[in-house]
Amino acid sequence: MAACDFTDADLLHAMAGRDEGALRELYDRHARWLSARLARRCADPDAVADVLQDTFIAAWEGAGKFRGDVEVPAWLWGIAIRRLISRLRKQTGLRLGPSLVENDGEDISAEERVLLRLENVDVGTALARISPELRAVLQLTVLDGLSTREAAVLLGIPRGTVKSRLRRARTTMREELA
Amino acid sequence: MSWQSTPGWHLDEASLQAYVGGSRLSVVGPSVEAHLLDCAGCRARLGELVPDEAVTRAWTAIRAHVEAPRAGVVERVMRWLGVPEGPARLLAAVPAFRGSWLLGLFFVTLFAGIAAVFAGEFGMALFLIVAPLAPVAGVALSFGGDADPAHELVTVTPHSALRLLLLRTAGVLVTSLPVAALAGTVLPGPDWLAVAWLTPAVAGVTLTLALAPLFGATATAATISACWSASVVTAQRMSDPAAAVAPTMQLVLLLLTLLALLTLVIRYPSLDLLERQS
Repeated sequence: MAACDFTDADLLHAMAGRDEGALRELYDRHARWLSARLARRCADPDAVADVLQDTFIAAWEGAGKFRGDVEVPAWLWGIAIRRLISRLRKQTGLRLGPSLVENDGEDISAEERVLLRLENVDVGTALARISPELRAVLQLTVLDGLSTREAAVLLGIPRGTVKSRLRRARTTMREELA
Repeated sequence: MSWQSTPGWHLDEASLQAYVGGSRLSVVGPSVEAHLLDCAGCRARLGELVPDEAVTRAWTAIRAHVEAPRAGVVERVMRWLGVPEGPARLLAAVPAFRGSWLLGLFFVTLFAGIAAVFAGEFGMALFLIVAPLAPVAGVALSFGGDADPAHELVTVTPHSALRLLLLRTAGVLVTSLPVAALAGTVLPGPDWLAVAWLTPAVAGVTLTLALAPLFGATATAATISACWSASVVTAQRMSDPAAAVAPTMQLVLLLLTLLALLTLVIRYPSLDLLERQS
């Protein structure tokens, strides 16, 4: 199919009708950023490639179930992050990626300070005061939309710990922003 | 989509590079990810920074998966004939549709037919044994849980058990009856002989279907086959093999068929021919 005139949702619709060209186009549009985002959570390139593959196969099989209640990129990421979790569950000992590893005490790296250029922005400083453990939990639950159970699996910590860290993160944020 | 973000705001190149490069970005990282979900332009710019290797490798595997499950010849022929996809897949998985079985069936019935035409009474007996038992064997082969590759497929299918049973039995009959029917038309002897073997065939199939849940498909079919062979051989010893399908026998066989059908219908709600016999 002639590619660029179609929205992502059109592509999914065509995929539900078994259009392999639509799958190819969807892959070209989304595989790269998905793999980059996966790589920030899992440092093992083979596992990332596997999860990427599983994600698009699931999208191919499940294209008919896409109802349009979320945007396609968010829908794809929802599949990808859950595939990553089940991968991590099966293969323990995979190295976590840069956005999930605990850092060595430094809040915001020098590199990031340069990128931010805005050292006094409220949310930035508020986030910077939060310990890396809390930040990882916040990121997984708030930004990735995972349940506390799923976040616990990804981080390899008990679910109760995720919940209490999340509570602490919220309190800290509130105090910093007040 | 961009109503959520400030118009004209996009990720700068340095942030994208730090993100792909694996820098630890406690504030910028989440911000990049939030923006990427909403901005196709930034997704494309990020994509240019991502190395090809893993993305290409994953695509190869995806394409292999997508192209792999091609329908078999039988399934495609049935689809072409207008059979809907679901039943076609189930039918194609009936072991009676496998090439080796079809070929064997064809030759056995063909030789029996030739024997009946050219080898007199002995050949007639052979034909009368083989022709009705071919569909019985087909049913046993197709519904014995141990031999059926579609066993799992069938146990979880949304169709009713009876509908499925009839569908698959019809499939078996389609493969096993035509050759015998053709041979029947050139049989020597009275005209009714050409169709007389159908009664024991139908009786054998229904009995197998009715009794298989109790004794196992293979054992039932074997017993029925032995009984039928014995009747034909006895008939031949006493007078004429055709006596095994004489009017009186036809009545007995019909009665058996009715009984078997009755059993099938009564047992229908709990019908599970795919018994875990092993």
